[in-house]
Amino acid sequence: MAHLRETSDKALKLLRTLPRVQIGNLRPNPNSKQNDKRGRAQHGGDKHGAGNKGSGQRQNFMRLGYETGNQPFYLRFPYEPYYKGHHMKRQYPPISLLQLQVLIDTNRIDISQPVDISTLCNSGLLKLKPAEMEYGFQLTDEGLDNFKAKINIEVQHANEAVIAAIERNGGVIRTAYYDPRSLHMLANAKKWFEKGVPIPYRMMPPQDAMDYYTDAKNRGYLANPEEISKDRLVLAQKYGYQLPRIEDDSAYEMLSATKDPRQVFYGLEPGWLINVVDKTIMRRKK
Amino acid sequence: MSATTKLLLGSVLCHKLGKVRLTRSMHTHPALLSSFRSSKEVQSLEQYLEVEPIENAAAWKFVERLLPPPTVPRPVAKADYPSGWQPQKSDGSDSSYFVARTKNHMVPVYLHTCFRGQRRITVVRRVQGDIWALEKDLRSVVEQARNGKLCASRVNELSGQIHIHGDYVDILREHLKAKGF
Repeated sequence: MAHLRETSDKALKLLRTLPRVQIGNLRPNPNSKQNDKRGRAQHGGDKHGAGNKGSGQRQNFMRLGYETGNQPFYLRFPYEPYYKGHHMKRQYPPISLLQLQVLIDTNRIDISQPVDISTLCNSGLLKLKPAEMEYGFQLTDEGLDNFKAKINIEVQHANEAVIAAIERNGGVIRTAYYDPRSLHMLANAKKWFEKGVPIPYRMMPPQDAMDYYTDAKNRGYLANPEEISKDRLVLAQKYGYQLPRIEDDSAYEMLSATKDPRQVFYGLEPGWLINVVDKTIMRRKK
Repeated sequence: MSATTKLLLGSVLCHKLGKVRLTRSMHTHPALLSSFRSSKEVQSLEQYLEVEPIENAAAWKFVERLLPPPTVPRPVAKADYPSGWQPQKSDGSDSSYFVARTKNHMVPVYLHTCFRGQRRITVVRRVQGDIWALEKDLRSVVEQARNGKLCASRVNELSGQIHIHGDYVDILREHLKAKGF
């Protein structure tokens, strides 16, 4: 070891007398560069990894999937309808309750107001791409036990455990459908206002989504409100928690805020035109 | 001779192209290149509904809600944070090093994977001060998690980063949070 230390001392001593290490007097590490020359004959020229005989040596790269005369695997089965219509299916990108709680804890969303797609997109951490068949967010149950916020949230899909977790804390959850045009408006509302176009009506859900959004169990926005309040109680009994009375809550006004089924933004009616520059709202003269 | 034929051909082509353009304009909609191009021309004003601009409208608060904040909001001090996130408590005065939070107020510990997920490297970024002391601390934490086995690490003093072999993201993040970073 002693000689090693001596060598390193010597090297350091040498280094002190040498010019400063900089990009001009550095060379690549040994063997880090590959020689791009292909030697011929006695200068390393043999098969060069291409092997002996056949398509390997000739390097006539066969087309992808070709099995040298067999019926190729990719042509063997004429019809596979497993993924039929997959490009038409509605996608609901997930957000977990844990993510939502982190957004609340780091002050990225304001829970003193109702939370919807635009609130989530405005946090700057979640993105919705309606052009890629994303029809809104689904709330998933990860971090369900640690969720402690009292919120009024509107998502596009939620399961029973998530609904129970929200309602246990005295919150309100609602699942609602938005057509792609409305989603486009909600995903970046400011940009849409700058277009200077009157706010359109929101469309009703398609036939195959109607069952989901009229079901009180899913807290659908088209369900009967009386059935929903009954189902809130049923769910509280099923999961074993005392249902907080939102009627007695000080934030009752926020918790009971809803949109009309044909309305895109909270408080803004279809037909209005928002001028963000002059801070005015254009509406029809009464 | 050739010049005249060319001219003739040119005129024939022009004529044909003109025809094509005419027929196409008859059968297609205007190109929807922008809302300005595809919007209708202004008609006489009697055809439109009467509208009025409302300033200081009561509904303007709903518009303000929809406008995103221009910068990342500062976290508000709360009694407890149920998600496990917590604000930075230490300013680095009680230790020789400091780990800054990211612009999103998160602890800068990341997992880098390569070779199809076969190599996992935990990266601690934004280290200021005595990076070697922090590396020593983190190594002891990781080695404790590995039941005393040694761990490989690399320090980039210039960029203030520590790379530790293996996935110890959760352990290191919790450790740094416990230290107040």
